[in-house]
Amino acid sequence: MPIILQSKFFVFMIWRVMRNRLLWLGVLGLTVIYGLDGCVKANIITGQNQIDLGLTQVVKVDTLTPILSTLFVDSVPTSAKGVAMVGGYNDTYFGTIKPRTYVQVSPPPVTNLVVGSAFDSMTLYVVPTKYYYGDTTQFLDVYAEQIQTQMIFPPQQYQWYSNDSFPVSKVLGHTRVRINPSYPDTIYVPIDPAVGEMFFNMMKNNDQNLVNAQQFATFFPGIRISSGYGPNPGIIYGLKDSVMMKLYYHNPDLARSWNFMRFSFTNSANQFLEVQNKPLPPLDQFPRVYSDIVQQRYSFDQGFNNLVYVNPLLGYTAKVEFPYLRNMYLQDTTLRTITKAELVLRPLVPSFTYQYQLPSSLGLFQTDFNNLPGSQVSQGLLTLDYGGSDTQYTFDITSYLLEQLNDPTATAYKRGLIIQPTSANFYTQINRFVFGDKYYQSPYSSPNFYQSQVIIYYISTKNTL
Amino acid sequence: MRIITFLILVFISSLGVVQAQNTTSPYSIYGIGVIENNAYNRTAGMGSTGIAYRSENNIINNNPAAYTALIPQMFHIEAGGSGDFSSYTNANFSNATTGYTNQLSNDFTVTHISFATKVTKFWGAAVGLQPYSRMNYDYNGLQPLGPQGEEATVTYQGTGGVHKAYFGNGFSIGKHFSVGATASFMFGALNQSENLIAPTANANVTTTRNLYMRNVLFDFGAQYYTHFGKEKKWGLTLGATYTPQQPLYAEDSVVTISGNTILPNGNVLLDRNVFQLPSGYGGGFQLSKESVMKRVSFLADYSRQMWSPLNYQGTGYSLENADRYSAGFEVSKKANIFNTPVEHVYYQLGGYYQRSYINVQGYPLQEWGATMGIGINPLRYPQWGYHIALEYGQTSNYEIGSIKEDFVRLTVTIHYWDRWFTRGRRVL
Repeated sequence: MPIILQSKFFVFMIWRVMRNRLLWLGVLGLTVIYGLDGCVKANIITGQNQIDLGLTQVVKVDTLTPILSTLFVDSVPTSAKGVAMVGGYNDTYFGTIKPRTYVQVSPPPVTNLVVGSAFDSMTLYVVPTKYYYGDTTQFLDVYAEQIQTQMIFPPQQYQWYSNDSFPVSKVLGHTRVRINPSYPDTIYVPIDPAVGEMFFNMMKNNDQNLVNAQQFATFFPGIRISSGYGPNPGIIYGLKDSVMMKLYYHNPDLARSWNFMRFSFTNSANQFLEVQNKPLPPLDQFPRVYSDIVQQRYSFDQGFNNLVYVNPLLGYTAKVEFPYLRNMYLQDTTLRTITKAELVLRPLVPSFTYQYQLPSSLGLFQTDFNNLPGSQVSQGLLTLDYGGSDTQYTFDITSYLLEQLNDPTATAYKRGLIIQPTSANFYTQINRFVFGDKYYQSPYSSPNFYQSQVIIYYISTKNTL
Repeated sequence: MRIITFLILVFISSLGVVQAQNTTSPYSIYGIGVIENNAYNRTAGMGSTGIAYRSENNIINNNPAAYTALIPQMFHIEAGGSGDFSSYTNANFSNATTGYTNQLSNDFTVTHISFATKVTKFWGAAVGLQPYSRMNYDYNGLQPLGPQGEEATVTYQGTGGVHKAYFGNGFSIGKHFSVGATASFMFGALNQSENLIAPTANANVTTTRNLYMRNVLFDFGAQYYTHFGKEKKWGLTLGATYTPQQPLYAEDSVVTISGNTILPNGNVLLDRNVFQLPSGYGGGFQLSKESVMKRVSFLADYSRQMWSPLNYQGTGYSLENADRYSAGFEVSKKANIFNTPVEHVYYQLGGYYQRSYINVQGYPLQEWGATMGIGINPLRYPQWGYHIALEYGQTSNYEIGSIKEDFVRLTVTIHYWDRWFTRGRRVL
């Protein structure tokens, strides 16, 4: 009963409520209000500076000063790199440069020469690559000279270096060529007939020096290919290391059929590039002594005039350090993180032309106070603007700076990045790169051109509200 | 039964009041948002002029001393909403991707609910909930990254507001003078976010700031009222209000996310800040001529909030003293119910000019508006009252290139009253 009574009471109350027009009137009014309770929100597009709430900002700064220096090692290993060059030029910044290539050839297979066969000629075949550096309209003298002593590594040395050199005993041959680098022809160097005759007779007499390459090397240690001893031709060409010599002879038959013996390239470990260099100031400040220590001269050192020099085959690379990086936290306490950081290096306009081109690719490599290159951090993007002032290498150093910024260890500031061509171009090009530091004043155009720059974008948020 | 009726309505209404304010307001990006100067009550049709206004039938919270004017033994409840239809114009809009030279927004929001009664012959009291400030904006802008002309696209969004739950009391001292005090619990949250995209800087950063505020604040008021002239048909009321400078405790937290990573030191719960609400004062008068079945009133108010001494400023803006001038005119007609003249309908006109506390780029944000209102107490259902006010206004700081907002605001208030505390005696 109580439940039934309660139910009746409940139904009764609902009925009373439902027939209450006052309630319906009120509910209707509120329903209208709620029905309208939605909004179309204007998304207002304003111009610059209309609104600045200031919670977050992306700040672009170029005030970080990179400390730049030129690194020098007395030599770089060039053997077994498959790289050969010939030529020479006088560089405004680096002085005279003359690369010479050393190669070894193996004797031809033992050939049974018929009685009456006779020597005709002997030729050295050198195949240019399409690489060149300099004025390709110039003629190039190509000399082939016989190395006087055997190419034997000194103790504890397993490579030949760019400053290694061997004396030569005589000139084997010479030619003078002008090469179209786009469609290079093989360079034919006629070998002294006396030398050819000698090899022919040795083969005819089954000379033991022709039995194998090792034995042959004791007799004929190798060939040096150079541009001779005259003035530099103003051009350097790249060569393939696979040089060879052919000895032509003919048989005494009625047709006088001719044949040849091939002295093929051998022992790539003994093929290397010597680069002769007589440096100009201020690079002559670097002592030319055998040493494992990488020498360093800062761009602000006396004589360097805020310039940095890179020519890896001559031993010059560059280093960039950011010792003031963590000061950014002091200068702007709202700095939260770096979103993008770029190192911009601008070569001096007189330092490169269509003939003397910049390194096609530069990389940044981690290093420390030993100044030895480690793993690659960044690849430079080269923007070329011949005749303008926008030629520059741009490196993304975001990750590196973030790592350094968050490294509180005391030695962090000693770290840096080495600027040098990537491994693919380190030994194959002699292209060089001269650029100014942040304070370099150009005498040629606007003083600020060619200054190095670090452009940093960072996020800034308010510390207090 | 009537108690059940309005309890149901109270419940429904309260659901709306606790909703976030939706009113779009570009200038609410500054400070704690746009401070509500609209009185969501009967004075809305008179430019919210009401420091010296007294009403027997309606809850007037412009001045707590006015609660003493309520008829004894009656319990009042009011709820209402406000709809804004706004058009924003700016010289830059013509370059916007939309191609429109102006942009529109509209919304309708339940704004307030209040209860009041005359507790004793000399004591009137009210409780209620209404907005104190509101923040709701959505901007797309450009932010320079450096002197080289690089820019980031920034989207600024903000929602929330500060609400005011108040308990007001008015006390009669003699026949011509009342004083009042209101204790308000201010609470609310402001949520602001900035999304900044700068492709040249590899930056996609979103910073969210949450600001939670609360405190109990007090304000005071007084009214002097008298009649004069032949047969005492003229009435004069003088009113004054005063609000002391009081703190609004705030908890700030900022989260900055770059990509998907929360930045170091970017999720900071900052110490409690104390946001000071300024001192303020206001004064006004009401001059009325009353006959048996009609009353004509003219009102004027002036009020000031002292923001300048607080020295609040941000990038490109500062908070300065706010002034408000308003005036209104009302004609109230009565009808006989059981041989008792009871207000049946009233008509209102009004206007106001105010210099807001927001000063952008050295120019104060100014607003002016013209209002008209009408109120009806149906003779068949005298417990109910409806008030509708229509307002046209304009907001801008009138700086070249600034955003100008033209708006039409519709305010609707529903009033319900019933007998309480009768103890066997009824006045109606």
